[in-house]
Amino acid sequence: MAKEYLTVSELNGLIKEVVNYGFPQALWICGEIQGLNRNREKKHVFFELCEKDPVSKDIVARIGLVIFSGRKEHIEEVLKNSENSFQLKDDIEVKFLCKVDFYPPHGAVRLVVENIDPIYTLGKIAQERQRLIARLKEKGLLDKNKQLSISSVPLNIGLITSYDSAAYNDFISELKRSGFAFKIFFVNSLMQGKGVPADVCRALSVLNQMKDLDVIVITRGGGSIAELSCFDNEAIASAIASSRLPVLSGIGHEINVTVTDLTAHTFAKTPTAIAQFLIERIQDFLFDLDEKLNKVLVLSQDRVGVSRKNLRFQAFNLQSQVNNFMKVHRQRIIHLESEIAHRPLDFLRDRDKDISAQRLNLIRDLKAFLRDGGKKIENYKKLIDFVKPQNTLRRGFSITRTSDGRLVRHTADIKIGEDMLTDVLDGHIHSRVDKLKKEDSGE
Amino acid sequence: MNDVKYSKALKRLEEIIGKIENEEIDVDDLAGKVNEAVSLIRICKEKIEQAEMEVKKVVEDFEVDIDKEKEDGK
Repeated sequence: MAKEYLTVSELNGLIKEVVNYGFPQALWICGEIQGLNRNREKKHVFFELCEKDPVSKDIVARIGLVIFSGRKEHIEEVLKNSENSFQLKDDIEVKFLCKVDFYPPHGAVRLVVENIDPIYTLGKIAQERQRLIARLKEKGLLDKNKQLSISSVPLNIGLITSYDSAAYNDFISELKRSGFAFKIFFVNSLMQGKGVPADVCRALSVLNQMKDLDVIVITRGGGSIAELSCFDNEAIASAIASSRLPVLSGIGHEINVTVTDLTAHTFAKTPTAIAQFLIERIQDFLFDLDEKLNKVLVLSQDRVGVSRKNLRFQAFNLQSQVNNFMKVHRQRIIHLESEIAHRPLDFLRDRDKDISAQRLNLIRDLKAFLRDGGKKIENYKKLIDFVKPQNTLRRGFSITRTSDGRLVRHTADIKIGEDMLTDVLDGHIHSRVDKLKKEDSGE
Repeated sequence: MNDVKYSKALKRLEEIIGKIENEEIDVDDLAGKVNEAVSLIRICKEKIEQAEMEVKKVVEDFEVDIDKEKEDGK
């Protein structure tokens, strides 16, 4: 008869039989690795696979796994030989060939890893990456930073990397070798693991607030695709797209181009290559400057030559103009000199002539005057003769005076009884006034 | 009288001659004006000679400068 109860070990033994019976063959299981990093160095590596809700990202199922020490080497070998080698670590999607087992001492179902399919992980990463790129392209974020122009002398550099890493040292020493006066504004950041996006975004925001920066460089050494997949990140891509400064990225190597690289203004494979890009830009600028300077020299020498020729011509011109000027003025003075030598004498001669002419005129005038005078005198004589008293007396007029000789012209000139004397042509008549009669003749 | 401007002296000279020519001058003043004209002529002549000399010297100095510069340029 059967026992009424089972011991725990009996039960667990039964469960193990059922499980082994139910899962006779190993199965391919896909999920995301959790809790592996802290157990990586142990002899047998215990960790979990989980499945997340695609939208909420909440864990909907999980199961424990173990890679026994005997299998570890094989798994690592498979990964190393895959096209893009990567390391097992937390947060990556994997596809394991597992035997489903039950471990009675713990009473837990456990998957014993036998093999791995690396192509699955790589495909997942690639798919994720393609989706992200498409999304960024649609939002126009992929080319945004490329539209910024980089200074032709990018000497002030904001550097995002992890302090004292190989990338940090390669980048700095390459810049130093150039001898140019680069100025580095360094912001330390995680360059691997889950914390990368947040840290890089913080560093970008810090550097974008600084003045006087020319470019921002994000760089790290190369790594596997799975390692670099943290740079296939939307947050970093958006931060680069909205950066006011051009972002240069040097992440990964040969075949690994991350979304960060694609979103950046310019990318190169290594920190050294990014440093060289900056150095070459400055060298190009200096070369261009040299060429321009040379051109200026040549052009100005030409110009000076032409000017000198022109000057010579002008000097010659000046001299001949001066000669001409002097000649004209000398001739003018000579002319004036001769004028002053002759004019006054001519003037005097003219005056002399004037005087002679005046003399002749005077004589002529005098003669005329005298001639005219003779005639006038004749006339005067006739006039005088005409008014002479004798002639008047002859015509019958007489002149009467008082006894004391006054002329009697009016009745008032004499009184009644007074004597008067009248001259006639041949003698005098004495008479006495008898009567006076005044007539109103108007006289 | 030597600090009279050439152009002024010339103008005065022409004025005097013009007056004589146009017989606008008194005989009493003639000798005085002729005297003035002669000294004006002397002044103008001196001025021309002096100017010519100075210009010659300046141009010569200038040519020397140019030649020197050209040599230095080489």
